[in-house]
Amino acid sequence: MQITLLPHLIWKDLRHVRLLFGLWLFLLLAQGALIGSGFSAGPGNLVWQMAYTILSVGIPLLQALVIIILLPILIQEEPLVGSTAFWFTRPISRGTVLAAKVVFVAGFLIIPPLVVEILVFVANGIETRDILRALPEVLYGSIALIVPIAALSALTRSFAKFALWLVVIWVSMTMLVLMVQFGRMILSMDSVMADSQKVSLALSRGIVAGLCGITGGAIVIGVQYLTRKTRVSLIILIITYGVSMAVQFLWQHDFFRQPEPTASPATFPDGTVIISLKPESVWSSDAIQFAIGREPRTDIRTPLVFSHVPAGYQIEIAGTNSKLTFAGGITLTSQKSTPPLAMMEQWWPDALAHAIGDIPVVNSPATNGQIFGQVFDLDTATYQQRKLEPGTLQATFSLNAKKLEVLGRLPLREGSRLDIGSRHIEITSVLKQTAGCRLILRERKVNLWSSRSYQQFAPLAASGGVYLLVNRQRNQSILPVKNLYFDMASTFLQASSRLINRSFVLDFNGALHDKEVVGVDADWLAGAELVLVEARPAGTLQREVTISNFMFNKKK
Amino acid sequence: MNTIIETKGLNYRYGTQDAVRNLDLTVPQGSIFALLGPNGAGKTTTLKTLMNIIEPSAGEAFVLGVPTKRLGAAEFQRIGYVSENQEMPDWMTVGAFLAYCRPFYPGWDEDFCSRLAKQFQLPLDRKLKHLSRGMKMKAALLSSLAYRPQLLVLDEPFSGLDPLARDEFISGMLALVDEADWTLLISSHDIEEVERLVDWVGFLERGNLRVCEPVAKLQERFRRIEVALDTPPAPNAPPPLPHADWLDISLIAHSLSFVESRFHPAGIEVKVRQVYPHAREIQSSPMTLREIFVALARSPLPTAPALN
Repeated sequence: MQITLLPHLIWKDLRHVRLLFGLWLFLLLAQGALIGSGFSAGPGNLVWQMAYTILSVGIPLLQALVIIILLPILIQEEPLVGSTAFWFTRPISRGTVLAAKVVFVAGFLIIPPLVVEILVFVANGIETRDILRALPEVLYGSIALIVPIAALSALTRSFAKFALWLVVIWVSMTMLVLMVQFGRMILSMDSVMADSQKVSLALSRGIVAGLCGITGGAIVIGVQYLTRKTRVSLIILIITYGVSMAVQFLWQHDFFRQPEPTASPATFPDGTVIISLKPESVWSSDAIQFAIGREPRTDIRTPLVFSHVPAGYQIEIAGTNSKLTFAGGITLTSQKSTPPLAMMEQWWPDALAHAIGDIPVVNSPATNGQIFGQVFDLDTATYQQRKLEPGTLQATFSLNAKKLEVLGRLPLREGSRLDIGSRHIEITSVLKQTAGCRLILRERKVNLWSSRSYQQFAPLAASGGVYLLVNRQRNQSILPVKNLYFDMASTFLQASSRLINRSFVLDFNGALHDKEVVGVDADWLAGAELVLVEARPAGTLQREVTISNFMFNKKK
Repeated sequence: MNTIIETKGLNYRYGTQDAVRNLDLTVPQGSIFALLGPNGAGKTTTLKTLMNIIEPSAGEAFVLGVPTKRLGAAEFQRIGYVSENQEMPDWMTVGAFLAYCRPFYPGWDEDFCSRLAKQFQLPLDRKLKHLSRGMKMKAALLSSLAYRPQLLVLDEPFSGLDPLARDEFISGMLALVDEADWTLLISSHDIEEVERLVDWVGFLERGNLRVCEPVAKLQERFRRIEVALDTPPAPNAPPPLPHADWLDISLIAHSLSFVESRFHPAGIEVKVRQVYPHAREIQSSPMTLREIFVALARSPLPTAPALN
């Protein structure tokens, strides 16, 4: 390799793509400023919200587009396909050209995003430990975009051909994914639904598929530069494509899954918990069917009541396995072992009250220790045939216990802050209203692969807990009314961002599930503080319930 | 004779078609060698193989004593290559282009470059994409001459040039030939244009090398022979082909015409009279390169092996 020629070649490339590179750099800085400055602050201002939405979507899209144009120009400046390239007969070794391109891409397209991201993190008070954890993600994000585009550029002779092949590959991949998904939906809707809940598995698959793409793409680039054997490179590309697609559907190792802590007396005294069903309130409904041509099914639900749950804990159902045995010895088995996706979290008022110091929650929508849960699933024909026939129900519930703990307290005034490691919460506005108040909070925190989950899309959980206004003197606390509108924009738009820097609204001003907020006036607010409570996994447990003379339907 | 280029049984296949077939070519050092042949004869493919742009299907080739598959930066510092369809960095100005090329060549002669730029009347501040085809070729040539290469390879340099540009280009080359100590390999289908430039010639036809020798020797051994016969042969009888050396034979009434490819002044009359004892008059006349190649092209391939 001719080391002395590297700066010469890199400078030449920089001159060639200077306008596009300048545009990309501007977009990078704009994106950094957008995320880093917390521009999304100011919910309630629709113009800002709209501008933020457009910029949040538009800038990354434009950045990717510029890369898609810039890279082929950069690579095809010294084409690797065909036999008419000027550089083939000049004293420039293939290794030197490859090295020049690699240094250019690393120096101008990979390192700047890394630097900007670090600056944004530092400006937002993110701890060094979290910054270091974020760096591989930043690198992965850049390389996963650059390498496949560079590989395709190395296999095509002109930008037009590159663009054509890019569209062909993108359309074919999309079609293939849709066809496979459609096929899976026809064959087994349950597995598709189950997969849709495994967000961390999907993330693992995406990352492994991306790594396959990066590895294969890098090999293609290397082979193409060093040997210019396009056929070999194409075969490697096709293999990479196949492996990536296979991984996307078949990869099973979920390395982002958070292990559930096992129950132990030290964490959760599970021996006391009792679960009971109310068979007299059984309820049947048609199951939602996504699969085409599948026989109709019926869900059976009953109220599930948990008792003897230790103070400050609440229980969630993770899965149910049930069977019903009739007098003649015939046994039906429930097919569903996992509950449907719970989009909204239910906070048990007694557990909340205990967590904040035995101060009652006066407007909770939930009933303490009671869930209306699914206990059985069967085909509708069997249901119709046996709905009034009594049998013995044996149900095994897999349960998750969560301990509610106060994460922090904020005095109810503008500017009060809560700093928990890399997570920073600040009350930016307190708008007192006739009954209650509206709080605007700004929250900054890292959002790395390991912490992402579907719960981000549930507004309350997105805050990493639940906020309560607590007035100790009055011995009252209240939950906020969910303000979906203001939360959704920033939450959705920043879902894939490594830094959540958003503002959101908490309305403590109205009725919640028909329970009036009583007496929350200026005096009440004067003595109140904002408390953040989170539910920490405390253990898993199983309970078996046996009920004789259980019927799917009590009605005649 | 030192050779600067040598090929042994070189073959190149496009699919099932042989573009170059069993090519044994020798280019002596210091020669101005023209590789001639009609379009599609395999000239460009041969040059691309020699420049390691494409790999031969079989056989081997050596340039500057190095196998072409191993031609690298060190060798290309001594080789200049200009092709009619070479993709140049069109976004650069001529000046920037020359400045870009300069660091690749330790032997870059800036004075020589400036002189050539003036001689070629190249506008240094104009982008390559805004130059005419002729000017672009000149820029490419300049970038391949400024380091005084040992070997200069020109692939169809006159293609697409208007007559004026073509003349300027050739004049420029002729002016340089005298002062440069180089080997020039030039491919062209335009025989007349290179005739005044070259001293060695190779003729390719459908991938086969028909001729490879000095021009003077070639023109010495090729003669057009006109024979006046006393008695015409029987009507419709094909003219006899007594010698493999006789090409492009035609008989019109009492007049026989052919090309002798191994002409010797003392021997031609004897050879003719062996076949035509009653030949009244035998005349020989020298031939231009174009006439020689037309005669070669008209003779079938199997009966006309490479003549060295």
